[in-house]
Amino acid sequence: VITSFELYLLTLLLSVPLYWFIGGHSRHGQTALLVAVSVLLQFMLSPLILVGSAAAGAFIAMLWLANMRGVGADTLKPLSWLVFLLLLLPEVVPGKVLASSMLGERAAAVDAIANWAYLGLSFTVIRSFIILRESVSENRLHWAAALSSLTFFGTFLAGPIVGRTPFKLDERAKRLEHASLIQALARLGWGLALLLVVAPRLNGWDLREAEAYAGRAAITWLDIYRSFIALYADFSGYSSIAIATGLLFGIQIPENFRMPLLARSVQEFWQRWHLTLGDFISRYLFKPLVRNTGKPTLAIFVAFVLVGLWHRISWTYLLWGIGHGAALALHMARQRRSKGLDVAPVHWSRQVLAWFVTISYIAILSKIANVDSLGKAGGLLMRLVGMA
Amino acid sequence: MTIQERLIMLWQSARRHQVYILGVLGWVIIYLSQPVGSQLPVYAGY
Repeated sequence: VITSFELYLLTLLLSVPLYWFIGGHSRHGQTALLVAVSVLLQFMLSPLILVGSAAAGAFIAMLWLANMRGVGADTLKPLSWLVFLLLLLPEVVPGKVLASSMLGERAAAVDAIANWAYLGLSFTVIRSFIILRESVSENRLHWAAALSSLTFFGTFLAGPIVGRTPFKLDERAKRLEHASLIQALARLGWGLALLLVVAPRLNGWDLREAEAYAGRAAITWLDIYRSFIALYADFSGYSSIAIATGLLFGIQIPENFRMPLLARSVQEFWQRWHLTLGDFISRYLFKPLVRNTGKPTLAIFVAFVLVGLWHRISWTYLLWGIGHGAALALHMARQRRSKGLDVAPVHWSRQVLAWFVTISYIAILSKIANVDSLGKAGGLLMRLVGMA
Repeated sequence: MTIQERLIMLWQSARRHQVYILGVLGWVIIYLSQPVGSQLPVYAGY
């Protein structure tokens, strides 16, 4: 049995030397190899992922044909939002049914794969949107770069979110420098350890035994912090592997985290966590909403509600969006009120308190977002305050 | 050079080489935790 860990290393071991060998003859050949390997991997993980990528690719091609036939940027920009309708796909076609019919014997892993495919779709959709917008503003598709960005196996499951720019031929390194290779191997080791060892061990830690020694509320709190740290390990591990994979192919994937667990406000958190999503929110949601409504606090709230639903279309993710949006809007309103006033430096004890409250608030929102129903989310909150 | 200065220098050097130190640590963790990745990781949503 080849595990996903071995499969990933094997893919890199075979494709990286071939990629640089081909690079000596044809740089377009490099792109072709990258796309072929990515498509093959997507198919091996789940045909569902490939269905999502193909649908997004078809959408980009359709809008670009419209552009070539003279449809202007003013029409294309709003139309590009329609790509997010693909997120409804798993809602209308039950993922499990589709996955079991496609996977047959592997159906035992259907839940895991359906989840994976779902998340891949969220990222594919947002990437397609950015590719379209970049193409519209530069008035050129750069189809080879667009295709490699859309399918690139390093980033397709969970980002970092990039458009087609780092995949353009003149942006890619012409040879694999010694320093890049060493750095890639280091980031690969750390990322794999976080993703495949630290995160699963944290998630697999059975807290029920501990309930004999501590109250139920205390265990629920512990569970919330544990899940959040596991999420960070999982996600930053994944991003680290993606950045390392990019480096191995001479592609510069941007950083996605800057020590988010040190954040002392929700606003600071978003300057440290999932940076490439933050860029997307700011450029394509927040700023246009401010221009249209003239109300930055309303704009930030609406932007985060929409981003919540982008993660997954569910009531609990709607709550996640409202929670983040409301905190950011309040923060912004307070900052605007104190603008121009002399703000005294904050005492360290208040900073520690702010850090603790921020991380707890965000960890609770993350936990709520990932339970199955609003009822369960309510039960969780009751347990936190010792009422269930 | 005082002990404090030495410690600060050591810390700054560790920060500069953070990527490589964590990288070696990561591979050691993977080596000690075999077999890893026998299951597909399930992303809980970000």
